[in-house]
Amino acid sequence: MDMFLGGLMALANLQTILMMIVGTLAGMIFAVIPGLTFSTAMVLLVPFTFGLDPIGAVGLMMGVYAGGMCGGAFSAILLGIPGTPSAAATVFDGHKMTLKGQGDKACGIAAFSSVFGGVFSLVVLMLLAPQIAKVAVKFGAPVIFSLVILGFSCVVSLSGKELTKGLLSGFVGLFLCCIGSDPVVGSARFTFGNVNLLAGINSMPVLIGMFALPEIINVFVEGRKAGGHLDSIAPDTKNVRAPFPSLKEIWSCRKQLLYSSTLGTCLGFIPGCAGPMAPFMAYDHCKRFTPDMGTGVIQGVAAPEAANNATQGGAMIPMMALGIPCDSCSAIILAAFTIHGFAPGPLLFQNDGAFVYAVFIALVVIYLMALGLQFWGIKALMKILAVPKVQLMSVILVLAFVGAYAIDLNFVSIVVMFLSGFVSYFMRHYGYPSMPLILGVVLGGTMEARLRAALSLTNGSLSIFAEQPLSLVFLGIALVILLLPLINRIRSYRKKEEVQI
Amino acid sequence: MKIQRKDNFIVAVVLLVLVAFFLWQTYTTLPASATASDMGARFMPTVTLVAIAILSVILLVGSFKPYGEGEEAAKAPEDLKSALLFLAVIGIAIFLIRYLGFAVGAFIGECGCLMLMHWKPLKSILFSLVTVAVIVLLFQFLLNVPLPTGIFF
Repeated sequence: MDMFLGGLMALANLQTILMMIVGTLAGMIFAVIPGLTFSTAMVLLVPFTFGLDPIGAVGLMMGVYAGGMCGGAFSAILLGIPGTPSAAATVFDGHKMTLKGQGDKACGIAAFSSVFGGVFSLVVLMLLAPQIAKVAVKFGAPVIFSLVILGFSCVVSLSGKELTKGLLSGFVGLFLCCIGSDPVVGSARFTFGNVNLLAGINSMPVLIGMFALPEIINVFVEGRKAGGHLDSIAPDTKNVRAPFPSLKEIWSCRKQLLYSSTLGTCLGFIPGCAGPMAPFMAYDHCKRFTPDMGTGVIQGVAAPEAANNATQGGAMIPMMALGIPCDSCSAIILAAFTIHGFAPGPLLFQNDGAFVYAVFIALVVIYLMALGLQFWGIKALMKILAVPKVQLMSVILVLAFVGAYAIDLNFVSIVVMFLSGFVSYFMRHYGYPSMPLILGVVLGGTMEARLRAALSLTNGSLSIFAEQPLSLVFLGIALVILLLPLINRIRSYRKKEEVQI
Repeated sequence: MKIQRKDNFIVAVVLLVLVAFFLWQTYTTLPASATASDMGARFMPTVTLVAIAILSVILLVGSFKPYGEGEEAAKAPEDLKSALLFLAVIGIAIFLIRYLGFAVGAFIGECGCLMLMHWKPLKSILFSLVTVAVIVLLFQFLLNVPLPTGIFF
């Protein structure tokens, strides 16, 4: 109770509330514009948080995260172009409703479902995360290392057929973490005499480069083709509305809302499964007991939107309780927490309980703000689509320079940002997943420290992992997850051969 | 044997060269473990580099495999030349930020990109000037976030 009150007190401050509103708006704006992602908004807003107190900074970041999750649906419904990849499943029924003249109804149910899914997962987060942290605080180095490996294998296994590329991406990320001072003995590694590299490669410039630069280049290339100006895709905002759905409408969506929120929370918890996967799965599953879905009904909007937002609370559970991010956004939040002096993990609940509760309460408040902003601000949000993309991206380019430098006032970070963006641009085109690399950069330090600490207990013998049952279980699951796509490939190859015979 | 997947072949070769270089660096510049219990500074780089080498060899061998049914060759980014041009301008801007300072470097970078998009020079200059001025004012003076300085400011 003391921690809850401490969290409430920390939030009861004008600057923090203002930052939450600004963050929610920024997230929504970035999510509404197709081609821009709210992950980009999150990394670009980090430098703005330096002058703020940590709670205000976290309020801003959380606002972008929650606002961004909600905003993508409107362009999906009104234009048929999802604002974010996670809103892609909303197009199916949402846009059909617009074509039937029910766009306002679809926007209303989308706003309500987003907030329902988000708050549902937050309740699960509040109940589950402290319990997990209580157990996790007893984990030793071998178990934590095995957990990190499990997270990695989940993310890498999503590379599907391109498992080698996923693994390569992950190991390159881990290698980048070797640059700088050795965490145990302090010897300089791969710094080539540059003192600016002694502190290692900061994960934030890598994130800025990987998220922002490829998007900037893509828009610039498009802009060059189009002679410097890209056509605006703004709809006619005169009749755009998002009325609060009636109780009857909400009741008719109850099954979809509950099912999708549960599914989204569970999937968000699994590394790499947040994002577009949850809404598509929720849509597909709900279609089985809602045959009308696909023809332009509110249930078809409620299901993906609730699942999409529910992944947020799910993804926050392992990030807050174990310090393991499950998706790119939680990786950015983890980095931002660390910059402001809070290291997510089980000890965060012990040492900074009030901060943890401040985050929880902030998220609930932000979702309520998002609800209001969606219902009353939809017209203004859709007008944002008229902002010329080329001009917007050129401003983002300058902000990316500032963001990378402001993290540690180190020029090397701007170079790191540029190189990460350069590599990421080509990775996207040649099918190399970027998430394993991001996870490698964010978790590489923890991984090395835990691995060396574990091995030091047995003078370098790997038997330490076999001696601890929990560690063995995590490593076993990780191995199965990694080998599963390989086994499936061999099976399908054999089937093909049998058919040929 | 003919190389079927050129992109994979190039990536694998580049990575193998880099791995060889960094492994050489690991064993020539980093100290070996001083105690029996700690694995030493060489441990993690060696593990990751060996893993990258193994995966690169797999990628290299796979690059000779012909495309199966439904598989398609990876296409180079559309307008690769344009993308490289923009990346080059941004790279030059970063170099200029180092020596001339943020305001000048960022201005030249943004202006260069806009002009590459066929914007009229005067419009590009004005737009970049306003953007950079607003950002410098906002960060340096209002938020007290220092920006890189050089010969100028």
